[in-house]
Order: sequence, then structure tokens, then C-alpha cells
Amino acid sequence: MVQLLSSDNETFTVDKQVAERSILIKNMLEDVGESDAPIPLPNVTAKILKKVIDWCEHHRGDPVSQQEEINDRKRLTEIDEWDQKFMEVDQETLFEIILAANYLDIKPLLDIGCKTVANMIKGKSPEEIRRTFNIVNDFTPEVRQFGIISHCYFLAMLST
Amino acid sequence: MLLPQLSEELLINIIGFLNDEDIVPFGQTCRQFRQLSSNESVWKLMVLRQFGVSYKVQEESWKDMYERCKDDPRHNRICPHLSFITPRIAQRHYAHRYQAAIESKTKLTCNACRKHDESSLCFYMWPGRTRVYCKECCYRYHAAEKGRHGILIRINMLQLYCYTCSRILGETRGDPSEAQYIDNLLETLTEGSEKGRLEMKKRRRCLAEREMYYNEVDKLSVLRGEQYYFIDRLWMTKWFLSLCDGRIAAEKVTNQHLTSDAGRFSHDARPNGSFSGGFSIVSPALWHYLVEEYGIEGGTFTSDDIGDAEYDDLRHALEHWGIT
Repeated sequence: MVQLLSSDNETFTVDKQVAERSILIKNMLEDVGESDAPIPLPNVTAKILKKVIDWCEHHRGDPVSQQEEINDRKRLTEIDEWDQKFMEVDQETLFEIILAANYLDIKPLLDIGCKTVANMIKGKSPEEIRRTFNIVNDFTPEVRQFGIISHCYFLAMLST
Repeated sequence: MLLPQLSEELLINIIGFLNDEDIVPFGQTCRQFRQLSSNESVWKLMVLRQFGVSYKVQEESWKDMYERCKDDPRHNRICPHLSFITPRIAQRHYAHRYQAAIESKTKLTCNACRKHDESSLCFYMWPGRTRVYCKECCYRYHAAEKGRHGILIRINMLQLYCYTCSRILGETRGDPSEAQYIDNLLETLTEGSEKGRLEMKKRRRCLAEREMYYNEVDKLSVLRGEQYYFIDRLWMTKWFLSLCDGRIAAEKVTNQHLTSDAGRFSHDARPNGSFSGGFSIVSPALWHYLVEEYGIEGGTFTSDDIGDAEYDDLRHALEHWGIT
């Protein structure tokens, strides 16, 4: 068992196998060797760490592939059902999971998070994307017009 | 926390999951995202994730590569299965094994069936592993596990073959990106050994000559050119077939079949048909190249030699040849 300490000083006890889904923790454990001291994770709050541990528990049996993502294209476009449910959270939490996955070096979780955000962008107009993510339109009027023209041009190219 | 506040690295990872249609409206939301939507790293990820391809034409952008992949939905010209052999992996895992195989002191045999047939010996690569087998055993090994998209190199002729795509890679049917990538890859595999470098030189020469064959033999543009040369068709065919097989023919150009007893161009010679006396026409540039590289037996004849009345039938045949 391994102890993890969140930034807000909450301790979590998890299986070594589960904790080692995080390459950061795996490397730390290899460096320090056997130790009972909790591993401090100053960039992750208890709320997010809980989520991340849930994900790691569920995916504990997944093969840890040494390979680059290249031969695994199917997984690159789809998210499985459990993960989709897992990612049904507010945006703030979603971004924090992404940040935590990046910090803890859990590539599959990072990719699922990024895919989830990408899916929120897909099929939307610029205005809808702005509304979804609270983005301020900082284009000058001329650029806006040009943007629309180039978009039309692009669609025309696609349809030829 | 808002989306634009994520680091550029994370934003690239996210946007890399979009496709070319969705990235357009995204780039129109604000300045920061407009810049991001033309970021090369984003397009590189998109190419990798959507098409499984990890290479491009050196001089082009990843966006250009995306277009190339989109034009080739069935992977007829751009093989994605090759992508696992990145330059780094080729250098680290495959180069020394390949060199050990070609530099072997003892005669190479298939490591599965022990057959000695050098011409069919192959170097099979799949993620992390290699095998030196004959063609048949390679196929058996390949087919034994579903999803093993290995790549095969025929050792003695530096030819790459993808079982999944069922075609020879990097040659005339491939996209320039694929051809360039394979050329670099083979260079990495061969550059450490003398024999390998020689093989590589031969391979490049074969491909260059095949290109000449496609562009400068029996083409309407050659026929309509200012001048063209006649060349024995049988020789031409033999030359081309050995190039496709990775060999340089040793024989001189055999134009004696086109030469009459009087030493002139035989008026019985005809275009088309692979018979003695059949000819092809080639551009002056190619003719001079072939004479220089291979030598010649028999006469040199050009379009200037068929003006007399005795060549009427031959000229008629040329006009109705139907080449394009």
C-alpha cells in the first residue's frame, strides 16, 4: 500500500499497483524505495485526487503499453462508456483532472480528458464555442469578416 | 479556470483530437485560438491520430500531410503501419540487427525452416522485435497473431513490403511522403556497413531509372519531341523488369536486331509487340544515359533516319501507335 498526500493535507491509502498508473509516483517509489512516508502531491487537491484514484482503480488491470499511441487508433477517437460517465463533471473539475493527469503523468487519463474537451468543441459554431467556454471574442471587425469569408471558402473547398 | 488558461502543451493535445472541419470554427473564436489552429504540432497530432501516420514530406507542413492522407483514405499510397518504425526506433532497435544480417560471415538461412535461399530471405520487423525468415515463414509468423502489422524487408534488394496494405512500399505506387520516409529509413539501416551502403546506392539507382522508364519511354511527348531514339524493345523490357527486381542489368543495349545488313535502320522494325525487331522510342537524354551506363551493340538510330520512302509503313505504324 502507498500513502498519497493531497495539497490540502488529506491522506489517501491506495494499492501500489493502482498508484503506479501514475508514472510520476512510479518513478518516485523507485527512487525512494520502500517507505511508509506519504508521498506529497502539492499540485492536486483532495477532491481531484479522489477522482483520479477512482479512475486508476477502475483501470488497474489495463495493460500498460510501452508503445507509442501509433498502433492504437481506435482508442484515439472513442471514449468507453465508463470513462464518458466519469468525465460528466463541470468544466472546472474537468480541467483540473486534465492538469492532475498531466502532472501525475497518467497518459490515458490525460487523453480521455482532452478528448472530452475536444468533443465539446466538435460540431459547434464559433459563437457556440465561445459561449461553452466563456471565450472573449477579441478580433477586430475586419478580421471577423475575413474569418467568415475564409470559413465559407473552406466549406466551398470541402464540397468540391 | 477557463479553457484559454490551460498551457499551450495541453491545448495542443486537446485540439489535436479535432479534425480539419472542426478546427476552423475553433480558430475563429479568438486570436489565441486562431494561432493555435495553425500550429504545426496540432496538425502533426491530427495526422497521427486520424490516419496513424507519423511521417511527412520534409519540405512540406503537417497540414499538407493531412491533405495527402485525406486523399488516400484506403492507404493505397501512404502506409500507416510503417509508422511504428520511427527514425529513433530504427536507429536503436533495427539498424544493428539489420547490419548483422547482411554482414553475416556464414551463409544466412531462414531461422524457422533453415532453408538457404538468399533471394527470399527477409527481415521482419514489428514493434520491438525482428526475425530473419524466408518469405513463407515470415508470412506464417505474421499471420499467427492478429493485429501484428509487421513490415518486411527483402534483405538482398532493400525492398519494403507491408502485409496489411498488401503492397511494396515507397516505390512507384507510393506517395512522395512514403517514398522519402522509406529512403531515410533504409539509409539509417544500411549506413553503418559497407555492403549496406552499396545496396542502398543500387536501390536508389534502380528507382531513378524506373522513373526514367515511366517518363521517357514510348510516350507521346517523346514521339512529338524534336528528336527521339529507337531502342530494342526486348532489351528495354529486360532492363525494366530487372530494375523492378532491384537489379541492374549487365547487358549492353542490343540494337543489332534493329540494324539491317547494310548497317542502316531496318525498315521492318515496328513499334509495339515484344518480338525481335520490335522497338521502343526514348528521349535523347535517356538514350545518352543508357549508352553511357550500359554500352551499346548495333547501330544508333533516331527519328531523323526514317525520312526515306522505304520507311513509309514504319512511319504509318508510328502514327497509329496509340501511345499517350
